[in-house]
Amino acid sequence: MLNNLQARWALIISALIFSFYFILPSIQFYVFNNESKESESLKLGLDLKGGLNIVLELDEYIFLERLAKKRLSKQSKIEYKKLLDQALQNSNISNTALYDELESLCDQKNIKLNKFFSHLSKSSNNKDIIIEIKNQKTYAMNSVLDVMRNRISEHDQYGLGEPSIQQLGASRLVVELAGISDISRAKEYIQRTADFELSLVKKQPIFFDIISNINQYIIKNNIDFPSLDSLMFPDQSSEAYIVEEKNVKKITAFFNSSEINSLIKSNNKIVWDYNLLSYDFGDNTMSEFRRAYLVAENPAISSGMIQTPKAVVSDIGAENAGQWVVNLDMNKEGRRKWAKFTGSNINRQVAIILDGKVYMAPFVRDKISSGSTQISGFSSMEEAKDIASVLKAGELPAPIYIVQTNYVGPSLGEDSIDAGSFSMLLGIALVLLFMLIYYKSFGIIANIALLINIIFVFAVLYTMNAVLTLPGIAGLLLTVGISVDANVIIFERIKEELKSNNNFYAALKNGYNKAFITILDANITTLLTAFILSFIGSGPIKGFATTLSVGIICSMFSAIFLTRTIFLSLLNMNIIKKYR
Amino acid sequence: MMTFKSNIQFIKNSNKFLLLSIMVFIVSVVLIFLKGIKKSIDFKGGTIINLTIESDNYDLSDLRDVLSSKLTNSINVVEMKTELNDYEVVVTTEYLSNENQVSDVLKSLYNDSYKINKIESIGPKIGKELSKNARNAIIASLILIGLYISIRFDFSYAAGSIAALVHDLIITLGVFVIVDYEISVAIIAALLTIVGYSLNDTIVIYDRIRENLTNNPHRIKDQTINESLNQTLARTIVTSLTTLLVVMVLFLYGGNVLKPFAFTLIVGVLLGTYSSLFVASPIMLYLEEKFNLEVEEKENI
Repeated sequence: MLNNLQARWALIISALIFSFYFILPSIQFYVFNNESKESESLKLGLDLKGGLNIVLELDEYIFLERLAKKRLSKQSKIEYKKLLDQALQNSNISNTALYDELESLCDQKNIKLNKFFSHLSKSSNNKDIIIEIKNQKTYAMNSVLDVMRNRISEHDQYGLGEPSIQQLGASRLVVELAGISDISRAKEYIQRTADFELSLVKKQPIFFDIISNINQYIIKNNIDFPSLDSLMFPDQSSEAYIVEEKNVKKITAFFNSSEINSLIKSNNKIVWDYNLLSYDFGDNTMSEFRRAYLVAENPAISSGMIQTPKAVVSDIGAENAGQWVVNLDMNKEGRRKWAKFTGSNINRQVAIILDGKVYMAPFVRDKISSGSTQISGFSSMEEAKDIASVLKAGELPAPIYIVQTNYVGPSLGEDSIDAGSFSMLLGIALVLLFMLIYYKSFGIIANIALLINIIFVFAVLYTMNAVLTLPGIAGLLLTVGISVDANVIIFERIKEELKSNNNFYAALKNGYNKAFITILDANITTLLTAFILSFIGSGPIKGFATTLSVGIICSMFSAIFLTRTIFLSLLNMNIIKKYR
Repeated sequence: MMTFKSNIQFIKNSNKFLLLSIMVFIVSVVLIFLKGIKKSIDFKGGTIINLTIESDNYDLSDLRDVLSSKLTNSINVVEMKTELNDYEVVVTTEYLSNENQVSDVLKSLYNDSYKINKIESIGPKIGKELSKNARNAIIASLILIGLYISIRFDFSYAAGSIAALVHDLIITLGVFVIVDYEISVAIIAALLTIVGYSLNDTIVIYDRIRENLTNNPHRIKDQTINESLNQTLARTIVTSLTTLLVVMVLFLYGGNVLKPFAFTLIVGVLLGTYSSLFVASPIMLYLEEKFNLEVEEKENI
């Protein structure tokens, strides 16, 4: 008996220690305002801390319109447009995906889709073509995500706090910007079409000259900035210079100041690499670097000129057979410019720039007159696919629209935090009081379980990386009710057992055993509804479903296992008499 | 510890209560069909902008006029709270893809003496999807629960509990029509919570009924069920009280955002407690007896 009890307590205490470990930073941050613990504490939802949440959607109609073959007869063009219009109408009525409607429409009318999409797939089967269209959409979405991610990581420069971006279903994105105040500016920034260009990378000596010019300027004008020779180093494998990541921000700000900017200008601009380089110095010190490229201000190729970039495995027979490459094509204008550009820049680097970041800077190997271009040198499929989706932004960009906006101002958020925490504390206090009055000493045990349950719930929410929302607080309060309910069921059962049997230990045992199955059944059904709820709602409602589910599961431990252990210990210590 | 002993004749009087329930249910259905349930912008799409204006130039009808002349969409402007120089106004319109149209007007009227507290803007397409999802979620939860109870208990128990749940949901919606609330995603969440809560109550009672029926197989079912209801009554009431306590606190102090949600829960907790006592078990008993009679008749043949 004793050993069993010890094991029970060991489990409870270790659970408590872990929980405290997880929630301690949150307590330090939220209760004692210790700012340094912010990053380790439970996050608040946008409805509490204020911020902007927008849902963006890819315009599937325009996407499909643009995806069709460029060279179609006038008649086919009209036919395709009619088909699309009809499909759009059907999909609006029945709330289905546009391409599914397009497929069934074509099947009905016996129209072969490959008439419009022979550039995507050689198959004549409509099903195959729809699959390929869906693939193209996935690429387009990835590209939009890339563009957004890049834009949003720049969002820091607007002082907008922690950004987040996620894909939602097949054609939507959710962007969350916490603590933002200028809504329209943020929306414009996000909705703007992608800035895409392929630009010539200037040679290192030219870059070197500019850097020395700046250095001289620093000395001459006594500017309080270290010599660039101590910050920027020529890269061995490219025309770029490399800079330690911690200095990038400082240098960017310096270069952007008008006096320095005028020293760089004259058809040049400095663009940073999107990716970081890690360099191990061999003595356990790792440092992160970023490449800075000096590129021609006027791009060789810009948005809209690239067509159908695709990551594929290179064909057998080619020199890089079996490796991942990216193939792409150009439109008429692009082809002309590209031929001229590649012809005069063989063995030079060309930077693939999206929204002001270099994603890759491959070398030009040959003059390309046909527009059909291959980029090689990828180490993995992911890398190739990433670049393909970046290039996708250089196709006519797939338009995205804002379809949902939720904004909560900072003062409303604060009000909600106050209201939420006050009602949480008051609700808990009232329930504690009620249990104490109604169940006396048993009530104390239930109350201990209740308080510990709340600690568990917060700890689990933290480890799940969950976000606390106002409905989440409501869920937490309901959990208080549920956790108490388990004890009510048990206590009422024990009372009944005591009427027929004056052995307290037996009554306790029977009470718990009989109540357990009831509690389990009741909680599983509540969990079922919480589970369904988590599918329909967005952010805040999901927060409700999450806290409710976590609360129910934790209460099974605290309200049953923990209280029983307390009872057993009290019996063991003869604080409760075995016989009445 | 307080003890609580009751001997209320739930089953003997069940016809009266069922009749009452059916009447209220029918009234609710009629109300819902006649007046219709108001949908919030969550389900029909639209834009709600909640703002505070701290300007001497403020005049409600003025603001309304300027906004309706500048916007092509239909527009509704309501004052929520007016204190001296601190006016809370809610602007509701059809879906605006860009709230600039409204904030430009505000800027021209009040310069910077206004503050946007909240924007909720939902495109019509998302609204349509959300309605569909909400409907599906409620139907799916009823089916899943029906299945679970059919497996854990049996069919008549499941039918009784589903009847009680539908009873709770429809009457809550009826109350919504009366108090003129809108149905939003948050309300759907509250309705699903009611489903969970009401069921919780019902299951505790069912569990006891099943236990007592297996222990006394030869007693009259009516008596056993009535006894079970009385045995669990203390728990039913205590739990309802604690839950009510908590949702009342939410309603009173949880702020305006949670008010409709908490209101729904209050109605739901009351109905859920009532229905698990007076609807779920009597219907279960009725079905059980009918079903058993049929079985017996078949056996006689």
